[in-house]
Amino acid sequence: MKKTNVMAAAVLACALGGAALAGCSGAAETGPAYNPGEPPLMTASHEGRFERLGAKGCYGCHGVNGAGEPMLAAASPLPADHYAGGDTASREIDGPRTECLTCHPVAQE
Amino acid sequence: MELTRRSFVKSTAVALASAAAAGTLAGCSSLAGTGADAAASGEGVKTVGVCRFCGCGCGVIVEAKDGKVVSVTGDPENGSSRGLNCVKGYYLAGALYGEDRLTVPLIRDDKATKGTPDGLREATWDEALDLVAGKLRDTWKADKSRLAFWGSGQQPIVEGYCTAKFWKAGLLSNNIDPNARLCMASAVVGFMNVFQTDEPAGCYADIDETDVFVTWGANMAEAHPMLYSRLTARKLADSAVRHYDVTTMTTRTSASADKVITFRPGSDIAIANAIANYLIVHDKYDHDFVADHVQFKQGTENIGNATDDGYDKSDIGQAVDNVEPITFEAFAARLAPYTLEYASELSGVPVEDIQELAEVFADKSRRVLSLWTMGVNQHNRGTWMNHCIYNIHLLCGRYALPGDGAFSLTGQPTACGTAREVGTFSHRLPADLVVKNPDHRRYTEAVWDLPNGYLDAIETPGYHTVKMFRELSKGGIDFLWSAHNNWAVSMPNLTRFLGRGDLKGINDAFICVAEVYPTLSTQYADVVLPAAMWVEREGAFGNGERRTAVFEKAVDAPGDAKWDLWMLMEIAKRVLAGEQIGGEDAFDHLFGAWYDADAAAFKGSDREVCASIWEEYRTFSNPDLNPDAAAINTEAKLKMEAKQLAPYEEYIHNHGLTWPVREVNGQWLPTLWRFCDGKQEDGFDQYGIEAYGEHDKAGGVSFYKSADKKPSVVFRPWEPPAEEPSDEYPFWFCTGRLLEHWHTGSMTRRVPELDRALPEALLDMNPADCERLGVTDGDRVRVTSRFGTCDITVSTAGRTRPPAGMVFAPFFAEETLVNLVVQDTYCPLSKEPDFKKTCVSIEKIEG
Repeated sequence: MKKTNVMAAAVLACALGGAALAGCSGAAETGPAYNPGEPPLMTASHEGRFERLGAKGCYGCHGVNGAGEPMLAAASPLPADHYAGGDTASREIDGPRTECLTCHPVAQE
Repeated sequence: MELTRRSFVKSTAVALASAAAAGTLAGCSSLAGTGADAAASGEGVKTVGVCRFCGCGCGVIVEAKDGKVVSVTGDPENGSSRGLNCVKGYYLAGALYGEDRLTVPLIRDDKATKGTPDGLREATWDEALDLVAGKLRDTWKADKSRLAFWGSGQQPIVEGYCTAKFWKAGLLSNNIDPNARLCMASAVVGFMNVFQTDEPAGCYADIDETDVFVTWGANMAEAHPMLYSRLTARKLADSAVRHYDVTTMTTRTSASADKVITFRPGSDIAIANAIANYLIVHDKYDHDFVADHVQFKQGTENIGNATDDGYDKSDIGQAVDNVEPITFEAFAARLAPYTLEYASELSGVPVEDIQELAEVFADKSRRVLSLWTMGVNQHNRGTWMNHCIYNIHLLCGRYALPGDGAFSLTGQPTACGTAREVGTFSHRLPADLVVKNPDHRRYTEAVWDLPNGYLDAIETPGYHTVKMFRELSKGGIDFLWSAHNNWAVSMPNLTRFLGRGDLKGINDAFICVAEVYPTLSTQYADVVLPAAMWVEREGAFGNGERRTAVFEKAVDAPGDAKWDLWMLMEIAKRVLAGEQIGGEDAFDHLFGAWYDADAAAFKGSDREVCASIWEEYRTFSNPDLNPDAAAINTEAKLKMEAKQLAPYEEYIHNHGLTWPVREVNGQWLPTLWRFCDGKQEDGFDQYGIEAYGEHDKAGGVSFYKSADKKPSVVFRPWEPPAEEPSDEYPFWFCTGRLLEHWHTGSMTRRVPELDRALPEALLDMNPADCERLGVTDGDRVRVTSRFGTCDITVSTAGRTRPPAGMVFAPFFAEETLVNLVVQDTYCPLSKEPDFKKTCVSIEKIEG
């Protein structure tokens, strides 16, 4: 994912407004607990989001911005090893990890 | 585009080095946003393992603390997965700790309770083992054609090896078959017919190197997620990379496709033949490759369908394997009717799309990788369709080259390593040997130290899986032992086999089920043996790219659950008591090196036992370890060392190795690209080609295991599916797997997160069909075929998007039990059932 695309995704996420962001946040604080190594599920409100937006849509909330902060403060951040080169400064998701659904399916409740 | 081997090796090495250095291949994350190493608690003991589930064979690091697995993360040093995994793999720890693990043996005293959750009582191991062994011995002594073992592509390698040895040498029975018959048998027969060796030539690194993906009947995004992640990463890395998804319905895999080619079920052979015909008619095939490497054949045709019990013994059933050589010109003439227009008429695919795909194969400036799985294999002409894909690749010189090949993806974690390589099929012996061949029997006798001619008693193959269950359902088998599978959910035509309605079912047989959780199969068991699961003992799997990998023991099994290998030894010693082989106690002769029958214990740790058994097993492919075997190998020109294996410890040290593994200057080096000339240290098949092949042939490959060093291009005609939609049954019904659940869900449905992600099996339908039938999302419908009926909930927003006239459902849900409906018609050559094309009616019912 190129930096330009990341910014476009962020813009897109913002443009979608509250509906797009609903459910993005809060899971870390109020959702189910996960054991070490277990990838969290997307919350039910995310249904269909990956299919529509792809990894760019995920990055739009969970990735970092130019200041190294999460795009959406309340969203659980992508860990460093999910970035190209293992470096958040790349602002680019590591290629094999762009198929987010492979590890983070949507919870149906 | 021409990628030289040198530039390829260099680019691969650079990519791997960069990735490793940067840590990009590390495992997935915790919620806290830490990487693989940090994700684990860091306080426990870490062991190396490999995932329990699909054929990808992802490496994992298992962390245990206080006797419990606390984390599972990706293993960056595993060459197959490079630290990647999917959601199932990361939740492996949870699969161990369902609340209802079986921890004590269970016995059913009243057969009338079969098919219900009731009727099983707790028992001691001695009581359960005595009962099972007594039934098996009685059956064996009375008529050994009436006993059977149904194994698995999930049975670890040394366990499968010992089971095959007990069944074939101890009991002199070939009534042993694995559930791999349900998923990979068509691929196996395809490999053997075309190449005379059961193995893919390529490896997963081909995904990272190709220019064009062609997926044939393969929903990789759900069924091979790690490999699909690599596919999408490859596309992301190079915008010129293309993906053609050749499928009967839109799936998640279609999302990455530049073109989705949707064909009418069963017409894929017509499309493949049209492509091959196009390549020849337009002179776009590789003349040099064909001249150097290919021989042409045709086989028995108009072979009907194996729906009736008597098919195998019918005249046509007996002739299905026959082939005869033909000339290239004759082959071209057979293909000639398969014009683009004819294929379009049969398949519903536009002419221009088939032509576009044919041009993809014709364009030698780009590498093309075909990937396929159950859509091709679970097919009434599954073996033929495997042939047709190889036909295309061999005609255009695209096989066994980096990024340029045809790759049959494996379904289960060790369908290759155990079912195929160890030989737990009814017609097999270890290491590609078959019971029919006298030289193969002599070789096996040498390794197993059996009297000359001892195995002639098993020269006739036993019951394949469908035959086994058909015999069970009509009283032809009295004893069944199953392990590492859940046949009461996964077999087709369960209406017959479970005895629904007025059917007899398999209830009269004595059934022993080794399991880790209560399943529908245990509801039909007379005895349930509680098994240790995955890292509760040591084992090894062999994945879809010829990689053997060990999973170390990390924790003890709960309660009195035991290692399957211990169960096997205890039953074998009881059954073989008083028997002799070569003047020696039969049990000790077969297993005494590893097991102390009097002490009821192994002669060493799990590691030592596995290593010792492995050392005997690898003698099959390292004949120099046994002088008698070596002599037979030389005399009969078996080329057994062509799939050489390394000592056990090497697999642990290297986090898995792809065979053949060659010893070079004290190091054991794997082979990534089989039959491809080049340096062994770079992953090519240097020593195989030096020993048996030829240098400087077209493409830089040499198929030294094939007859005359030439694989067979076999003409296979399009023939219709076993049944087609009618007024009574107007829909195609296709079944398969989805991401979160492994097979019948007996493990993954006990992981709360996986269950939350996919709690229910839904019937995916086309909206137009729903409108016509007056049903909507959430409605309950009854699905009926001429085989049976099941009830299920409708969805138009499911994972798959079938075209009008087709429906799809996953098979993981016991409460839905879609296999009540599915036909048990099988490919006449491979005996693998067609799970993809049952014809059904659908009617709304009150929910």
